[in-house]
Amino acid sequence: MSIKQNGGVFGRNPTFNDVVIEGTITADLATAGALMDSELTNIAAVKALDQGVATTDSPEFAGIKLGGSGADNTISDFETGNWTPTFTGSSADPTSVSQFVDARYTKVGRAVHCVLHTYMSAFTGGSGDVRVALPFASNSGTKQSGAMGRRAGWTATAAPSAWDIQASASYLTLLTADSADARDNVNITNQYSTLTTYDEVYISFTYFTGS
Amino acid sequence: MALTKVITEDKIEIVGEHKHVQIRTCTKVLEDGVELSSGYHRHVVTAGQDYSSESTEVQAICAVVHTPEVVAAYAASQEVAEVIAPVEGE
Repeated sequence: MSIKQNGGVFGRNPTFNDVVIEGTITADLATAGALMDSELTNIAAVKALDQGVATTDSPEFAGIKLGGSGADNTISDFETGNWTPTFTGSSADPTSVSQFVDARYTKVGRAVHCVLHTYMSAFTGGSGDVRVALPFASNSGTKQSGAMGRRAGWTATAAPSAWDIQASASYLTLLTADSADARDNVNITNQYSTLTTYDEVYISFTYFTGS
Repeated sequence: MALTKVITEDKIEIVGEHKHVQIRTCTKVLEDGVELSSGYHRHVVTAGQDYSSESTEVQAICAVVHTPEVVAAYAASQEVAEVIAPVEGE
């Protein structure tokens, strides 16, 4: 059968179940823009994506669904960077702080993976709980906690054993045990009254944000 | 060949019921206008925190969203959060 008139057969518009093309179809990919990311409208980019090879193009997507179509299957955020883990206090912040900082994060979806090494070589003031700023605010419905890593410089009674992040907080709090007995509860917050210079905070930790 | 460093706050987010203002600062190094490298830095301004050292744009946002009600609600939530209930038998 041949199609002789513009898309129709003798002026009609038939429906075909299968169409076999013999020859070559030439298409302008730009006309498919409604279905494709605007950065994929050149042939090189589409070929590269299809073949999984790197190109200079960097298409951006609002999210990628893996293993399902729901919101729980969607990764919509990835970011790496660093942040300043500023020391603050629950009652008053320290002033004139000289601080060593190596703080890096990788955020994948709602999970924030952090590597933190910091200490104050000099500070004045500060009272209440010792708090350390986070790169992102925590999830509003979840309290999170974990173990400390290497620590140095702390007095025997103040050395932190764990950290916690309260719900909807932008800081991490250091915790010590009730006593020198390792079996005791770890729920005493470190206080500025016991903090000295060069007390190191050295942690690798993961916490969750709200989005 | 001219190298330039460009620092911008390229993302400012308001998140959660307590209106945390999350700021992403992007630092780019350009050579004749072509990007050689870039990196992100993050920090958060919480309700009640002094934001006078922030950029004009962030100050304006904080002034709007960190209302006295939000500041009070956030402070109350953190006070409650710090109360650690004793566990029976310990």
